[in-house]
Amino acid sequence: MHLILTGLLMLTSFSLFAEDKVILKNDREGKSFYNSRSIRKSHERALKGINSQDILKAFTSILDSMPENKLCSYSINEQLNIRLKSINPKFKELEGALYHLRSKNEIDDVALKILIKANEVETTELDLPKHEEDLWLPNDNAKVSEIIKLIGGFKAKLQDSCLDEAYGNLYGEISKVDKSFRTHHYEALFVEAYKMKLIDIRTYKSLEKARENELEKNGLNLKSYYKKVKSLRTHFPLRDANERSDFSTNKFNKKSSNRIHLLETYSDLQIMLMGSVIKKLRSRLDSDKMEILVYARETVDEVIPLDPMERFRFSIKILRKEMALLALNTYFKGSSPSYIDIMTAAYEVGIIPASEVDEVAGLELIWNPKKTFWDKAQVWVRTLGSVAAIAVPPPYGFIPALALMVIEFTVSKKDKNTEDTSSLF
Amino acid sequence: MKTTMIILSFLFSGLAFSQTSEREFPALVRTESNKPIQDMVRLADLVSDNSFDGKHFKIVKGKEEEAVKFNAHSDLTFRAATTYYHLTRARDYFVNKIKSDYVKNMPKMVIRIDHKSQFSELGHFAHDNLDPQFNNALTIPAGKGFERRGIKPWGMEIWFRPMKRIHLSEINVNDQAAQEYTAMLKQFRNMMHMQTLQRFLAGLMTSVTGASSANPFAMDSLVRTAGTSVIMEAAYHLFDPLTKLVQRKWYWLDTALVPEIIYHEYAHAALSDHLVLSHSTAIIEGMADFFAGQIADSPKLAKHIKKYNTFNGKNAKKKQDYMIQFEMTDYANTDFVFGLLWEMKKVVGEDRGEAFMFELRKKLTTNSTIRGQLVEGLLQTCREKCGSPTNDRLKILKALNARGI
Repeated sequence: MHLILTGLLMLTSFSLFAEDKVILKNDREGKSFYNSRSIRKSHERALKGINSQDILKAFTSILDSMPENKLCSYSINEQLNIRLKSINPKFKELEGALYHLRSKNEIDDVALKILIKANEVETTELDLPKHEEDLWLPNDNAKVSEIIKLIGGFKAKLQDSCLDEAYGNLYGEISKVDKSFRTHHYEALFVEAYKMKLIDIRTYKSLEKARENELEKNGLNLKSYYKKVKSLRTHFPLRDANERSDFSTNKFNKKSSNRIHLLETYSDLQIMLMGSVIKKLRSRLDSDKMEILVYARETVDEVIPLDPMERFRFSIKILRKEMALLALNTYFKGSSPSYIDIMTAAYEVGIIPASEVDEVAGLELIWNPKKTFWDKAQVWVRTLGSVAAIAVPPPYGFIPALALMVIEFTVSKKDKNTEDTSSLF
Repeated sequence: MKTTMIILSFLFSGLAFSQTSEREFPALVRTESNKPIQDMVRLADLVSDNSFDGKHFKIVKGKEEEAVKFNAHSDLTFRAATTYYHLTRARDYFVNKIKSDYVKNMPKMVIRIDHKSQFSELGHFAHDNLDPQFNNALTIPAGKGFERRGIKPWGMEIWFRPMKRIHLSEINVNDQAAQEYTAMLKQFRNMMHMQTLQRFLAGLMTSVTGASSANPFAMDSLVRTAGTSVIMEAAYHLFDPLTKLVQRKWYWLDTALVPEIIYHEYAHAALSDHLVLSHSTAIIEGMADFFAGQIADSPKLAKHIKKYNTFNGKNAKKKQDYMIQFEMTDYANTDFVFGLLWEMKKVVGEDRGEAFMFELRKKLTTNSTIRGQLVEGLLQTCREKCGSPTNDRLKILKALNARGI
């Protein structure tokens, strides 16, 4: 299965960049992850400066003129800023304009995050000039000269690729020379390269902004994101391109939604493999018959049919096993995707429609139930109750014992299915 | 002329048969807040002007074949009017709301009140020397009769037994609430004994290490320690006798005066196209309870009717976990399946819940089990009837899993 997937992926990847127009339109996400009050204010301010149609038109024409292999968030932002300023010279709300593009589904949250990050990097105020005494060049002169040479070639790389991509490559190359270099070493090395006139001030500023914004940690740039999604859509064409789900934009952590995390963390092949786990789960849940066959040598000796709830619980058990086995897969290199990741992947490739994603995702509560306030409180009540049972003198000693017993009977409800010998699963 | 006369006579006779009347009688009804009251009700579709003989139901007393007369004893007419009124309501529900063709075309039913005989599949009424029956109701299937013995064929009938005060000690009751309470008390007793022992050991340790001057073997200390255990033990052993002393001792149930029991029995008849009336099982009773609850528009059956029964009733909202014993006929009358179906109605949507459950009967037989065919039936019916089958099937599975099925 994995070999077939890899083969297909390789075959189709050749044709991926042969397409002409770049389309970044949102085809999966529901309500945007970027929906805070400050974001809405920024959005409003942008629309006060320039009307919606002008923003959309400017963005579309920029994308139309940008070939896939030149796709770059920095270039898009730069051109968009120029075009919007040509309409209103006082316009300063590029970020708001980007949010507006998301609100109109011209881009999704992943593309928005990349564009916003690019804008943050571009608008970073640098504290220049640097003070000599604050700079820490590495001691190894041979390594320093090798790295300075690499930095010297950065401008040429920047002409062929986007800042985030070029910086990521440079960081990788420097890390190969010495992995132990820290950010303050990079800071000194960039200054050194500038002083040696290997890079101009513009290139230096780009490098320094990238360093300050830790661009090396960026998992995804616009080109790789586009390539990833295009590959997924090629292998798994969406049955309904108009469906949207808030599940994919639910908060994964402070900085990412479920979908952003998925696309930043996993490759297209990994996402497809994760989706196939849910595909099997879905067909098992939908099945009306499951049997265990007992063989005596070559012939079936016994057929044990599973009742409906046994089928259900078996499907969940085998899902958990397959999730664990994913980590052993060569393509996952030991990393174990969570159920949320797997569900987001299944939705991303259209295996689970938007209308079902929340319900299937909710299955996790069966093996990983949410702890209620009382679940958490009972640990303390039990501990204190046990102490109180000895400490409280008669005739009031029954009070903690009574409290403990009530908790036992009301709050803690054990999963009886696991103890039930009348059911296989 | 002759032909015209014949046609006219046919027309008149047709009119005569289709003529129905309405009359008002006092009957027991529920208020909006589910309280039982006596009120005047209008009995529809009566075909007789002097007895409880209607287009769809004939109310008779015991083994009689003639309908109860309007001028019979007021106790009897009160029962007859109550059963007739609520049976008509139940039939209207199945015909007009559920759109059941089976119920619409069902032949007229004989309803027997104050009927003590046991049922015989061959002889209709079992021999009178068999024990008379009280405090319950049943729906019997139609029978072919036995010509040679003079037993005529009979249609589907509902029998309401007379009420009789029976001492509770004579009845074998599956009182789960009492069982749970006893288990709680047992655990409390164990905890208290353990606590007493711990306190004694703690006192002994502090005394031995010199941390405390109190002597755990001192008389007052020993009395206090042992006293707790003795009191607890006494309370534990006296619990059962005291409960018996305090609780009600007599049981009775006037089934012909309990609307939900009337609905329940009629539901058996309405569902009998698939759930054959052969014996009582958890599923067949649960399905009848569900529709009785729907007709009564309440998840509580036969509650708050103390004057005519001391039956605890059934409550669909009582959360119970599945026990394998529920599959046994001994537990057929518990409210587990009722509660389960009531919950499923909410899962598939209140608006389509009734139609869903009515469709469900097609997937069941009288011998179906909860864990097997009932769950399978729910899932298959959902595939055909749910608004969002995959989602709703998952919701059903999750809900059933939570109940420990």
